Amino acid sequence: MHRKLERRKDFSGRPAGGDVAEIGLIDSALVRLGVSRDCLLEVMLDIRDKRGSVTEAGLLHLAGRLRLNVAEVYEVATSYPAVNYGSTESYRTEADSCGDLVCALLRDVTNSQSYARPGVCRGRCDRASRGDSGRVFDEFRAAGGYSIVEQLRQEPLLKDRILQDIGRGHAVGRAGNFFPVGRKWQSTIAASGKPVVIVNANEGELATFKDRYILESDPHGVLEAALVAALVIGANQIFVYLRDDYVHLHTVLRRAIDDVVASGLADGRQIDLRRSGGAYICGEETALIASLEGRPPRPRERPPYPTEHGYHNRPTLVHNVETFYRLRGIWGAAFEPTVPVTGLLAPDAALFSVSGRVRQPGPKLVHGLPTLAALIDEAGGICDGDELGGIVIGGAAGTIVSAELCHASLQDLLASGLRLGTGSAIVFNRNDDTGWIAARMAGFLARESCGQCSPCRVGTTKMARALSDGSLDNAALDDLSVAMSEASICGLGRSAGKFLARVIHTAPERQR
Amino acid sequence: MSVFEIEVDGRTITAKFGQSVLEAALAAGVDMPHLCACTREGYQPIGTCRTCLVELDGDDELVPACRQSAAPGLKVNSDSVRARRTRRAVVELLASEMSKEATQRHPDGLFHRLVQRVEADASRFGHRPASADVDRKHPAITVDSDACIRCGKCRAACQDVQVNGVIALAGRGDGIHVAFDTGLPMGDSSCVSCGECAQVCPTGALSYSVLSTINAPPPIEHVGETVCPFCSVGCRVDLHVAEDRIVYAEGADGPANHGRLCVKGRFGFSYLRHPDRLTTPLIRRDDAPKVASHNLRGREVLDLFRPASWDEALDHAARGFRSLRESRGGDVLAVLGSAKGTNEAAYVLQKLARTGFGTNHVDHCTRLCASVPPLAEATGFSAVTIPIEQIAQANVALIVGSNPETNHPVAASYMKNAIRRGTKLILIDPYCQSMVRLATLHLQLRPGTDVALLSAMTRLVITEGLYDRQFVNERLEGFDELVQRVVPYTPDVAERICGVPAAMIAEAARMFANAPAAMTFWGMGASQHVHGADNIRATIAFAMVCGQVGRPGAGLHPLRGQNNVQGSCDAGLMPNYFPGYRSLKDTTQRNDFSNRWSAELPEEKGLTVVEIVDAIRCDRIKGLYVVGGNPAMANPDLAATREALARLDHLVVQDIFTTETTAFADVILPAAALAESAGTVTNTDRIIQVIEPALPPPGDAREDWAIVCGMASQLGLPWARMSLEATFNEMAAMVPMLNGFNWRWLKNERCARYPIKAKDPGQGIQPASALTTSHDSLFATDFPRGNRAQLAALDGNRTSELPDGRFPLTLVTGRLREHWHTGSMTRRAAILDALSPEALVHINPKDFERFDLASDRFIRVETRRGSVSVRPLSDRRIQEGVIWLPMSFFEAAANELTISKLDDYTRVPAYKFCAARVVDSR
Ligand SMILES: Cc1cc2nc3c(=O)[nH]c(=O)nc-3n(C[C@H](O)[C@H](O)[C@H](O)COP(=O)(O)O)c2cc1C
Ligand code: SF4
Ligand code: SF4
Ligand code: SF4
Ligand code: FES
Repeated sequence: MHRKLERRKDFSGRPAGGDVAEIGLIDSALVRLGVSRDCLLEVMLDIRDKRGSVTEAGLLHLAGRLRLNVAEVYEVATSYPAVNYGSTESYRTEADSCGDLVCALLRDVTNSQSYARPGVCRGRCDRASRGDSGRVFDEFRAAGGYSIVEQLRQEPLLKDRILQDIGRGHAVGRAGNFFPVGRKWQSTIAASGKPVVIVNANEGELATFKDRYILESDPHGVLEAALVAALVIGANQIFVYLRDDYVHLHTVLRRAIDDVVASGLADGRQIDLRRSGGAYICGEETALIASLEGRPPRPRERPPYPTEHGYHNRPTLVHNVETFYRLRGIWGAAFEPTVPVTGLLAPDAALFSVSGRVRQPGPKLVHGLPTLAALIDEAGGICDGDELGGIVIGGAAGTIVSAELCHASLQDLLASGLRLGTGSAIVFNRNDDTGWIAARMAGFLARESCGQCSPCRVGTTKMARALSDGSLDNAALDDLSVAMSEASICGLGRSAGKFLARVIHTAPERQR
Repeated sequence: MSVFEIEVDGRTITAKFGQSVLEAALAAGVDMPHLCACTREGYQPIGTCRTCLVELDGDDELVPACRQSAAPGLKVNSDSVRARRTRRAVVELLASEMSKEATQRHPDGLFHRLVQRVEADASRFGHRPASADVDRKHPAITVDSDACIRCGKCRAACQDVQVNGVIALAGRGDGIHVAFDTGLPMGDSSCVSCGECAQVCPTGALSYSVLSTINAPPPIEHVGETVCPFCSVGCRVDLHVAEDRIVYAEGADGPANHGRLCVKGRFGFSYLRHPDRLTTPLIRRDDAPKVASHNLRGREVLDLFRPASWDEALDHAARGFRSLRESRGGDVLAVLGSAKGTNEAAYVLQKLARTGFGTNHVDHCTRLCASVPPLAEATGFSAVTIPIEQIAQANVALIVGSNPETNHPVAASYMKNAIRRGTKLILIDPYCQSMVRLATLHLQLRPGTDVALLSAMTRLVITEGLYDRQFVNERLEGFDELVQRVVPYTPDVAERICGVPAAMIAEAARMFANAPAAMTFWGMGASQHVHGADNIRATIAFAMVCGQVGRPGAGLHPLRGQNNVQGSCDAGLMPNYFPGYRSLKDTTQRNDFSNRWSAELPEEKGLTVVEIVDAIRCDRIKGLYVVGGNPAMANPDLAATREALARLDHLVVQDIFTTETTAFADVILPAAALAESAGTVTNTDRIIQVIEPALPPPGDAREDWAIVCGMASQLGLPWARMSLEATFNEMAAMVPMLNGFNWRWLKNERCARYPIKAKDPGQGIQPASALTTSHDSLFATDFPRGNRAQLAALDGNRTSELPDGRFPLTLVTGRLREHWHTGSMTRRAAILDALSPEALVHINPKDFERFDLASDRFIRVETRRGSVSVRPLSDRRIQEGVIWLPMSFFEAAANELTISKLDDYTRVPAYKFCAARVVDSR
């Protein structure tokens, strides 16, 4: 009646098809990074860099060394696209054209299909408008950089003033939610345990590249602010969590960190550069923390908030790159004409990532923007022969603003509920199909869902399909949007629900 | 105040601190919708299905009831328009995860009921296309991945509850899926078939194979609850019965298992209706002589016998014993019981031996694991001082010579839960067992060198002053002798003897001694040696000098083999004690029993299991009554054992199957299995549980205690007509630990842990649910033997048979997870036999290569006593020079090889050590 097990379990210890070179690489990575689960993702990325992907035998070895069960490691390996687990295609990060919304809009993306991850936005929608190389340590120092760190170390009482100033200056988070910075700092200070500071440089939002611009231009500005934060809240550990695809920035930041450490400014504090796992969700703060702990990037329900129970249950302060950078204004750093990015230090400054059908796409630093259309002028105007169709504001779950509203007062739009999010602005023309654009945006969300909670996992997939093939009626779409926005665990699913609600509203007569 | 009120859907209910809103609601009988949450002990909320969302007064977002902790005054609305609408949509999305075909394949189940309950339209969002065939490769569990809704319950079951670490929720986004190990088919994975995942899966994506065959199983007629017979943990099992057979089993909420089971408990029941079951009494045919060279089993045995009525068989059986007693005295009679039966069966059996046969030669298979006597010697108490579950309060757990993941898997799951919460594990075991992955320290010593290792640890805590001075001064005797004894054992000396680095020995000793609370376990790897008692004495001495006894999370726990080891010993199924470990010699004690039983009682202590067999060989024993035991398979040195059995004048065997032993019987009496019996059993944690028959015994088979009473009646004994209830109550009166128990109270409670507080005997005793933990770690102030525990003298230097030129290897025997004891039950359970069909001899890869073996070629394993033919398995978990053979296969009976040398004190055979060689049959 029952078939006997054919495969006898193998206890002989022979690595099944194992490769000595891979095993050696793993062992040396563990020596460098420490034998702990925390380094799991970093070790796997290391192997991927050197060998293209991680194999099953490598995974078994890693599990044995870290004393984890194989399933746990498999879960981690398969939940990060950047690990490229078991793949035979190499994981390319150098191509500029990706096939995601902006590239698909503008470029011939047929050959982008040959990459391991076709269609994943790489944050290069401006086609590598890389400016001059950024300011190095000595230049930053010479311009007065890090003196605040020195002062703080000598005068610990200074930190109360900084805290006050941050509160008074109404500094807010720039990851898209505009949450008051001071409140986060206070709550990490109030929580018990040794705090941790994390610089969130994952920048995974569709068509967003402002953080890349800041880090390319003035990496020490971000590190300075992170050190100040660490000194003020009493953290001895700083992580810089950098988007894996920003390969060139790894060298820049590695060097920047080494320079600060060598200067002694960071004494008593550990600064670790860690790579993200190649997914948008890795930037969600609880997923980010999970990945630093060697677990799959799956967000966690709040409360408790990371400021109380974050990295290994310690109070954890996570800020966006731009948030950190702009804090410098609080302790007196100001605009320096030779370093354009310092324009951000003015309180009314806004940084947009402009892409799409404009002549000069790229990061745009503006002050007091009257209308969205004015952004197009900042970007050198619309491409020849094109007529403005509208702008997608705020990324994949953002808002498709019609041409007409682009000319309306931005103040009014914000007052009526428009959210700028990360400040990504994708300009399209009259001939571009907004239905197609909406479907693309939905596709991004579906692809980037971590998949753990059902409303988002199933909901984003159904939404993406329905927006491209019209397979659901409005009542079903309504319920879908309610399920996603009401029931999802994290911001991705919730904002996807709200996005869908907007799409249903603004296009009641969708071509169907 | 730990109880408070909350309001749920307009109803006021009470909740406790630490409960979630969902738990409080369900406990109060509010049927709140949920899916991924499992309210069973050990499950944490997953919180990803999002079907339990509720509105809270004063919160503008919906929150999952399974994660929301209940707090005083909370107002919860699970039935608002908003909550209902969201929930229905979420359930509809979940339903779309199943393919249409899979939905039809699984028309029932938790998820299906949720769909109906929230009035969801299961097809509203379409269905996934069918993509995978149903995978039936695993003998016990069928995987229908098209039915999976990725709720993650199976992952929690495997990773967090049973901590077997097989199931992953791999991938991301829409591609997230259940995976085994690195994405292997379940049947090829490291799954240990505990079945927990199938028990909790709400859709049928993982289900018991019996339920997902093409022919639908018969509708369940009733569910009977019993206690699993396969180890001393005492898991309660729900047997689902239809058409007079068990269709499937599930974990019931018992005091020891809280719904968990292991592979044997869940899949090992089909032996109950195996065709080999004895259904009628049998009498040996006149033309069937007993031949020592006979090694028969199964149905072959039947040819030697003719069926008889119960009257005839009992008469025949009793007559043989009576005439031997009359002609040669009770001293030529012996009784071998088993630890598989009920307390009542054990009690009446020893009573029969002592009052009807007039002999103290009564023993049972507990002898063969025998890990308690040294504990009794030290403390005067013959049971664990602390229950397993208290490991949750221990900072350190020391395990000596035990492989709980294989032999006590459910107990192991609680240990692993504790380890995951921070308890540190120190493992002393020659074998690189699977728990090693969780151990802080694994002291992989050479087999048989435990005493040196533990002595070195003891010496170190003494010389470094880490031991518990106060405890030593006030609670121990024999400390000075101990100090003298361990002098030679520096860590370096121990390193040379045991092969464990001195630094690791020191670290382990310090870790244990410095722990605020440390718990000590030992098992058969410690006891089954010629100096097994010394191994355990050394373990106890180490724990005692560190003062790790008598506090929550600190105590001693021997892990034993059979389900009723504790109860059978308590009931007096032993040659050296009356029930309750009361003295045979002491006149007051003896009078107490002879008055109660109205009989003269023998005074000299009797022979033990293996000694009885030896005595048969020299004609000292002529009549033997075997109840539920199988010496012709379980005893060491089988050839000699068979020869002895064939010599007997009168052998009566009572069993559920024909066994190797029945081949030598004069009368065979068909018995009911535990699941077909009523009575009580006592688990390793000292919890007595009441059982009732889950189904009737087959044919004319009868319950053990009833058969023994029938025998007593034939012998004209006055107590022969005592009911089960009266028997239990007598036992409760005579056995000191059970004082205060009575049948009616216990039957009502279903289970209780002894000792119960003597103040309020019988009634109004603390309910089982309120068993307090402080009370559970015994001997906070004194020991049953007095103020002080005794540290016994020991040397640990005896060896049974060292490897030499002719037999260069050390043979260790043991058990597999899927099989139990001699395999008479588990080998007849189809699923277990399919999971583990063959005895394989495990050999270190280096030896494997050195002897040039091949895994598909049979080899002979030989010792001075016999040989068996098996296939070899290269296994790096085994040390070089050691080979390991499971004991449960009649085709390659390990005990053909083992040596019958006994420990002086416990009289346990050295199953874990003898010299052997392997011969390639090429
Ligand atoms: C799906 C998702 C992705 C996110 N990705 C990023 C990211 O790439 N970078 C980032 O800074 N914040 C990201 N966030 C926001 C973070 O969770 C967190 O709120 C932020 O780092 C806090 O920074 P702030 O206080 O500076 O705004 C993301 C949030 C969600 C829900
Ligand atoms: S909302 Fe989406 S991305 Fe966020 S936790 Fe749920 S499935 Fe993951
Ligand atoms: S197999 Fe069952 S328990 Fe596991 S995720 Fe799928 S539906 Fe849930
Ligand atoms: S049967 Fe047990 S071990 Fe096997 S996958 Fe399920 S939970 Fe894990
Ligand atoms: S039962 Fe609460 S989220 Fe699944």
